[in-house]
Amino acid sequence: MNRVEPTAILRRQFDMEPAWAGLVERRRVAQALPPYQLASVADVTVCLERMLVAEGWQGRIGSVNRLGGGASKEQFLFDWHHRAEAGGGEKSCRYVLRTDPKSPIIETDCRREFAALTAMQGRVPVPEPVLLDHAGAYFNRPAMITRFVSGVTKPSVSQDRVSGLGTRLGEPLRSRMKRQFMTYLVAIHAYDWRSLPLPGFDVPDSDPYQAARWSIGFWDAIWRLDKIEERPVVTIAWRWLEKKLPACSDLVFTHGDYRTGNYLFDENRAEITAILDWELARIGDYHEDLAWILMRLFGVFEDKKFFAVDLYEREDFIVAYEEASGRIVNRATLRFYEILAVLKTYIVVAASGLSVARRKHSHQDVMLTYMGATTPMFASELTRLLLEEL
Amino acid sequence: MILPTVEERLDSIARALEAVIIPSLPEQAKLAIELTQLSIGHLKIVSGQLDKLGPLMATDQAAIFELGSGLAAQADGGAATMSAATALKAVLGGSDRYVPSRDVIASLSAAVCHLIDAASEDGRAEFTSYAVRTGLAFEQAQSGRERELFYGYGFDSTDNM
Repeated sequence: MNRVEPTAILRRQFDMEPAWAGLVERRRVAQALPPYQLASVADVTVCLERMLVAEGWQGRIGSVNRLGGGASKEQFLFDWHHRAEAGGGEKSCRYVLRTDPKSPIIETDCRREFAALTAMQGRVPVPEPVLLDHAGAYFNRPAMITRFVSGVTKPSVSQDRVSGLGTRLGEPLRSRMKRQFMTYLVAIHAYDWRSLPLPGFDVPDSDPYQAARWSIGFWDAIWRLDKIEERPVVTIAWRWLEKKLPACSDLVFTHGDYRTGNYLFDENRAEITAILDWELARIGDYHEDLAWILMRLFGVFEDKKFFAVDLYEREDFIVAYEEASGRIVNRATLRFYEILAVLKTYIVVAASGLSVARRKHSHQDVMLTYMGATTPMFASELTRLLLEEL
Repeated sequence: MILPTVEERLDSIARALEAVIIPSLPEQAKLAIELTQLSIGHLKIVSGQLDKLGPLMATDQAAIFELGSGLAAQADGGAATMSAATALKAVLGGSDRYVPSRDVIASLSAAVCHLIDAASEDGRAEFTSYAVRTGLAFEQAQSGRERELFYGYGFDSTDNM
């Protein structure tokens, strides 16, 4: 058998999952569009009513409120009042509507997110997906409705002994939630996508390097589209990644953005109530999720001790994952994805976020430029990791 | 002296947002409140940065000039490397080292990256290694300066440094 040379396959080619290639093209086209005009809540309510009636919902919309938080989607919380079955009185259910602005900070396909949420029902806690309008028939942009899940993404009382960019949990939440976090991560990776295929998801199995190649192919394409300025560390990182592509023989379903801040939890019960933000889910290498979780800038330092996503110390996390999943963590592969993880976040804040803000394509331009202040942190972290590789 | 100063104008906008606009927003207008608070934070930090921006740009420009000059002088390798080195020399020669300009910094960064990229294709091993080492040393200093500038945003911590 001929050995596949990973670098030869990648060089200057955008080898990536077909669905993600479509997203890159959509982003390219969207760049030429005029500034985004924020729709009023009243206008959104009208569109929502049209959608629900067309979908056969019987009842009426209660209050619609725009939600804060997040840097990408527009989110609305609404109540739906309807008559209960068997002659009961009026019943009320709460839902979340999520729509894309003109150019989200990360280009994603809500059909895939919907499929991921559907597949995860009953396996890990996720919001129940209810309606999908990928074509933008009602809102002129992709939209999705899920059931509302209560919970918070960060403690209501701040932790003052810790520092860092990551969401801070502290004790006792840390000790009480770490095992849940691990259990759900392992459950996601254990999803049997061969027997239960995920619509819209392709499998990077043409050669052992394709999982890694698809990931860097997508982010390289986004970098080329969105970059504001060249930066030596980014060029050095791309070339390093090309040379170090890891092989993957154990493809799993990955979340893509699994970390504290992207799940809801009940503060009193210290219980994870919903895992959110599945837009970057794909079939790939489990090391990609592990590296994302272990990123120093998503973690927290407390009394000089580092906690990944404020749940696990680094080595504890690796050992716990190996024990819970039965998989081996390959340190060289992990390092590849750690460097890629920092590069991805650099691209998100320094290229995509600022590019969207410059084009006035989001309702949260001010949030994107605010987050842009993290750019040097990611550049610095990327430099630190690459220096360790010299 | 130009009066009112830029700082005075920014500070007065922040105060209007903080003291008048936010209190008059309805409680359920969460996104509006959140974005207004961010705007206030931005304005206050920008106001405090104004004095530092000029000297910082001059330092950045000197640093990228130094990196570019070193790489251009040391470049060694095949056609791609030597062509990128020639292009970098042209940018260096056509830019004023002592007049700080974002465009000059951006042009030099692009030419430097092109040379690092080309060196990974056909550069001599010694030069490729030199380009990576000096490129990362440059980034260490550059990102350090930038982190100091943006420290007021509250994302960074000395633990990460």
